[in-house]
Amino acid sequence: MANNDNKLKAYVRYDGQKKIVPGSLILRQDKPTTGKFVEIMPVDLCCGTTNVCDSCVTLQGVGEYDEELGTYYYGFTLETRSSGANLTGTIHWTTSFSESFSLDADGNDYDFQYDFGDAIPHTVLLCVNNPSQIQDFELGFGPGETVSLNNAIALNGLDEWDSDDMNIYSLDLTGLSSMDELYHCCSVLTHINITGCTNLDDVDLIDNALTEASVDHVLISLDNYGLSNGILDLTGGTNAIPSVAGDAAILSLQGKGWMVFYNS
Amino acid sequence: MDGILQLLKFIIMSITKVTPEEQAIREAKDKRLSDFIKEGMTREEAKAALEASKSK
Repeated sequence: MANNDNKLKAYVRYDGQKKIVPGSLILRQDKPTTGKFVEIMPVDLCCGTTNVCDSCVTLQGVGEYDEELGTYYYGFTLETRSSGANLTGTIHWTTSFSESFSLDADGNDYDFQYDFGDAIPHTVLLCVNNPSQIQDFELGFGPGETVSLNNAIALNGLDEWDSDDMNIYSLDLTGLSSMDELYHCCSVLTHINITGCTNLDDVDLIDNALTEASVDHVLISLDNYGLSNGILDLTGGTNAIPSVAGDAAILSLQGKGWMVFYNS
Repeated sequence: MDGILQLLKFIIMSITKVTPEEQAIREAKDKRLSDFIKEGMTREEAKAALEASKSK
């Protein structure tokens, strides 16, 4: 959420069900006094050292209330590969609390969970030493919600990205060249960037709010990557109808054996 | 003292391995239209199968 004027901060509005109100993102110096607005991705919340930031994906997470424990948890899941080196790294839950991990390459899911103590967005840094040992990155299985993320390329090497249902407006997956499966359904997703995701052949973006430019970008990018027999679903929600250029990419993809579903 | 700190740490954060049983349940719930379509179903059949898997 960088901007040219560091005095400005980004805010989104939450409704009564603790969901972000679509289109409510604003940049202001001060929090609006009307409505429940919370700040997202403050520019000064990074880890303080450029080196760490460059090698980590930055997640903006909101905790979910656990009635049994009486507090707000946030989490996500990593599935390791079933052979090879342990998956190692460090997670910075806050600027003062971090934990290193070493997970067996046993093909299992590992849940990462933290007690934020409240329901405002917090910045989490996930720093993985060998992301090629990630089979699947699941933002949806853990408690709470991920509302934005930066520097996804720090996870280049993973196979599968799953952020279904997360309230993310803009998803920049530039450079995740090993990823072959991308799932982000049923959300407010408006913009997506898959530049350099040259291995994608299974993409599910149904029930989002993608613009025509984003729909075209997905279609044209996948066509340009030249893979065959893939599957792409852009139906539902308010995903835009492809433009003429998008239509051309659809025909080309279908000619290469792709199954393409889209709004019309 | 260290024990108390460790306990506090456990309470506020955890990295836990998901049990095979839970993982199987998750995978069943996480089944996608594309998985069914790849198995040879039509889109309508896949939608019905997906709904069935989610309601398990």
